[in-house]
Amino acid sequence: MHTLINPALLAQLKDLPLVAKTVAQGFLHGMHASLQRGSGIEFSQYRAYEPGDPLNNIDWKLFARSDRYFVREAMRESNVQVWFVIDASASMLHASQSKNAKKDSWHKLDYAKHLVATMSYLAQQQGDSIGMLGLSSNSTHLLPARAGYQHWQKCVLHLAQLDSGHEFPEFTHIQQQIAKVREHGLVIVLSDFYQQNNEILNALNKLVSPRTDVIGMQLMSDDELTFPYKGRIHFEDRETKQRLTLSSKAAKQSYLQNVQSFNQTLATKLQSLGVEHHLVNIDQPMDKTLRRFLKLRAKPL
Amino acid sequence: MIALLVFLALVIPIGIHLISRSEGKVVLFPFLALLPAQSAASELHIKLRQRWLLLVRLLLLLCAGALVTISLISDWFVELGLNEVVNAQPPAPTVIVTQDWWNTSNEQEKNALKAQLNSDDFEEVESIVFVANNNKNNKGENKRLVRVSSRNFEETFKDESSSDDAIDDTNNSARSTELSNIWSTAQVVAQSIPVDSPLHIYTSNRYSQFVGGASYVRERVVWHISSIDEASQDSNKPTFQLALIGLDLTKASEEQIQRMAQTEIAIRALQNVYPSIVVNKLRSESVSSLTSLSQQYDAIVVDAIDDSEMETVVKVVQVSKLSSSQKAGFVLNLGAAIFKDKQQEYLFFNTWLSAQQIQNSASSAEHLAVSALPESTDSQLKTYLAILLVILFLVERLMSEMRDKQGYTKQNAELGS
Repeated sequence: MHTLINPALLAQLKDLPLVAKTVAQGFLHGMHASLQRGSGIEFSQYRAYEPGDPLNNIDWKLFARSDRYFVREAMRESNVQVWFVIDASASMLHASQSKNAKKDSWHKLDYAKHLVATMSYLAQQQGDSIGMLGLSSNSTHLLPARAGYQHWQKCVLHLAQLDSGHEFPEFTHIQQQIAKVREHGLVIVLSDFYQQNNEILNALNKLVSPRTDVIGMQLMSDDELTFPYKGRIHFEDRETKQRLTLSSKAAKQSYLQNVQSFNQTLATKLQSLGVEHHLVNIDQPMDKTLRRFLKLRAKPL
Repeated sequence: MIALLVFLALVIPIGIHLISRSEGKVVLFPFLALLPAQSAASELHIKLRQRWLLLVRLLLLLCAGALVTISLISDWFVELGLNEVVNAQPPAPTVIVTQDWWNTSNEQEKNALKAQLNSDDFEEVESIVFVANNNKNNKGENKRLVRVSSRNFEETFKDESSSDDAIDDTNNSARSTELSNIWSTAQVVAQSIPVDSPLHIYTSNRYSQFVGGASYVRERVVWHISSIDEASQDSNKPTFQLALIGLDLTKASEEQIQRMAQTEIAIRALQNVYPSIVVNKLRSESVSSLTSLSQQYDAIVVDAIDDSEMETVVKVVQVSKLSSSQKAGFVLNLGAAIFKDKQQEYLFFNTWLSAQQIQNSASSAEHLAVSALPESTDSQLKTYLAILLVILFLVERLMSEMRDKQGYTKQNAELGS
């Protein structure tokens, strides 16, 4: 991806697929030189025989015509389903409000939508099936996992229609949807993991299985990480609407300690569940975040 | 009591600034559980806000308090009276009686003075100072102060007016000071009496009593001025003697008669402003020398003769030599010409003009005015305080508006975000 291209700026055009393409195609260069090839139905290319290649892969008809050994390669068929589970609770509407933040900075849900659009594009380019599950107390958006560009477009449409609700729904309400996600594959959960009754971790617990690779992407803003507030402030919880009046100066130290403790606890719990934990700052450019994420996983999607 | 009230008034804005805590911003936060529990200390924490505004408001109240205090104190001294002040810390009054007053006042006025001196208010009279003329023929330029007893003041006055051997009881500064007018006399006397002692001055309304610079007298002065009518005047006690020299009307031309009529009207107008002016009309035929006339008169208005001796005369106004532009403001120009010296003295003591400016201004009629006492420090202070009060009020309004505007902008920004 070209460093001068700002994903946030492109996002202002409200053209989510384009943004996703732009960001994703940038990553494809070098990281995805080609699709994985191997045995399969759909023909990909011929290649010269090399010692060690199975003899039944040699195209004998071509040998008869050219008197040379060629191995027939086909696109590898992928059975991997990539699921994106998006937390659409009210807390995901938080965006940086400090002076340093841009006026039109994304909130967490926006960021999650763009990230999902980008990663799903990468996945569909690889031939993987993509599915999406948006969760809030108001509604659930379930898009079954399918492969192909058209399905990706459908996925983007669902993302655009995804609205936030109040709280993360109780597990009992989303049990059926979670069961559909539990097929073998990769599940990427995008959430801030702010929960009232451990409902997010309960859902994650049900998602984890030997056949499923679950990744938890914890979204946080600069405000939450640095607490730049000043003066006497009435803090209102986005989900519970409770209010707390505090002197920012007095509360800052305790808050930062609490955040650190919360993140450590979350990382420990996710690790115990077998969930890979990634902390994502939504006020940093998305391309950097994606590059770091993919490098850490050290394998293409 | 007033100080206590002012202090209480000062406490109000301090209290308001301590208590008035801004409503605070409302920030939507994703997860309240991460914030520390609300502590009582942070909630009850009291802090002074808007300190500059508080300072301005305190100054505003102080100024208002000072203004009210000064006014009230002045009013109380005047209304509740000297009696209460005397009872609390009796400032003994001092009485100055000029010889001119004694000589010109009638029996009724003298009896009133006697009654006043014998009254309870004047029981503790600090001193009675008699202003005696050393040489009566010298128009009273050389005077001395004689301190007399309140019991036998009448005899002393009589003795003083008839004898030159009176006991001089004044201090050295009084003797060394030239007592040119009643102002300087009061100033000299004031130096030897307590600050809060009221000064009762008995003098006549004779021009010579007041002519010259009006010195500032710190003490409260109570004036008792006897009025001199023209009939009671004699040649030895002149007021402002003005000689108007004119032609015999039977020999004057039409134009000269008209001009002389104008001059008389102008001098009558001046008499309205300066009642002590005594005008003697002289015929030009009877005037042999202006120089000899100047020994008798304070000013001479020449309307008929053109004499080269005029330059030797102290104050002469030759009406025929007034320019046409000066004739336009005839009365004022005539007054300015006659009272040029007095006008210059007035400007010198009451303005910040340079000597050259005074010289120039004296010729201008617009500066003609009756000399007045300099404004007292009380009223000056009141004026300054009132100006300061207005300025502080404007600053306070400005700062308040700016604060409100800032708050409004912040709220808008928050709403926008």
